[in-house]
Amino acid sequence: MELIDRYLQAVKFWLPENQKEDIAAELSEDIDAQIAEREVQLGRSLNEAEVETILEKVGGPVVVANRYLPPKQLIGPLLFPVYRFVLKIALAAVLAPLALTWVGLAIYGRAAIGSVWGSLWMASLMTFGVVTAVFAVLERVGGSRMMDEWSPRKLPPVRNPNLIPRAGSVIELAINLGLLIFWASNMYSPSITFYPGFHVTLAPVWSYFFWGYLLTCCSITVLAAVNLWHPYWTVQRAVARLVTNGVGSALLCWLLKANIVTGFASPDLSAARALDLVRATNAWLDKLFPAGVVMVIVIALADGYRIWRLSQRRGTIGSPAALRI
Amino acid sequence: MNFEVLENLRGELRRGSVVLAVLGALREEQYGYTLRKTLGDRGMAMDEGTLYPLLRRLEAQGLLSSVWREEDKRNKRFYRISKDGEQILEQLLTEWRVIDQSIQEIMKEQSNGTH
Repeated sequence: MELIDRYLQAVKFWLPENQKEDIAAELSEDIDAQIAEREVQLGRSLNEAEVETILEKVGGPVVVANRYLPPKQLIGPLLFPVYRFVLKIALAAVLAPLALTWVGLAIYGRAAIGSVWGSLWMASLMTFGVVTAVFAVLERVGGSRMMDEWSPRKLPPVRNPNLIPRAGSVIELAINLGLLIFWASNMYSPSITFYPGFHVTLAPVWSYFFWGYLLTCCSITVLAAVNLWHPYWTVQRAVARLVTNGVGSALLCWLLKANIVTGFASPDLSAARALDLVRATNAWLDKLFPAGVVMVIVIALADGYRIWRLSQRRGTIGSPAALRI
Repeated sequence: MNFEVLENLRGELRRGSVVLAVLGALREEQYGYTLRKTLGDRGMAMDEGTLYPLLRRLEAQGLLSSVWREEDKRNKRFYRISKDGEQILEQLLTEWRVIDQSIQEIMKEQSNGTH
């Protein structure tokens, strides 16, 4: 019957060359046997619709053929979790800078937004393709076997998200102490000499920034010292970090909008040129304001997430003493 | 009760015993269609998409042998268990009985523990 021949031809299409005739012959024999049995039951020959029902029950050509093929996976179950992890990291590493560029362009000008959007897609596809290809090759060359080569001793130490690395606190403390000394001794006056012969005059509002940053710097220094002494995040310290970062960021945003530079003075600089320079500097600072706002939002989100995480886990993990300070 | 979960678990349970059933049934020579009928009649119904690839795999592993022969004016492929297949079947049956015994013991202990 033509319907059966068409069906067998479709199944054979998906089978390996050296097996297709053999498999098709056996399948044909089974279908013939099913038809013969049904014909005995009915006492007549089957019509095309009845044969069609039998073929539908046997299964779609691709499905039937696939059952004869050895299981094939581009990336097997052993490597797949590693593949997914690496893909996430790679996508984040490639897309984050592009996304930031896109945000920057959205803020400062729309000329190239479309092309960056296109680049985002291209970069995503390229990353996905390259990572998938690498893992597919690893799968072929027996990379799954690497998963068996492990030792409990080589596993990373238990990660505590509330642990504050002491090295980070030491660096923070050293930088802030240095900054504090520099700030207190050099930045008090609104007339600042950067190097001999070159003076910058700042607006009277500078005194707010001076004291504001001095206090913020002191707070960060104290916080870094406490973190060094007791290296676990607590809700209180996370809130303190949010407040200091928030005050510092707010001051920065204000500074960018405050037309803070009122004069430049240098023996080689004419009055007109100095005025141009003042205007240009303030204009550039003003242009940086949106970037400052984005930075404030990112910092606030990160600090806010830390507080949320600590409040969620409070009493369930970490050292109980850590939550007291 | 989640019917879909039960069906999946039942499928997994039966999948492990399919080889036993096929090797056991092929202690007598049969061709694919009659083998399927035999298994179906004894409560181990299997569709052709599962049975024929399994037969080929078992033959490739040397546990079965097959031969094409004409019967009732139709060419049919007859399968029969091989010597290696018989040995493997014996070992699998022993394993099957051990598993059965273990499950029975576990169920008995649980039953005694709860009452």
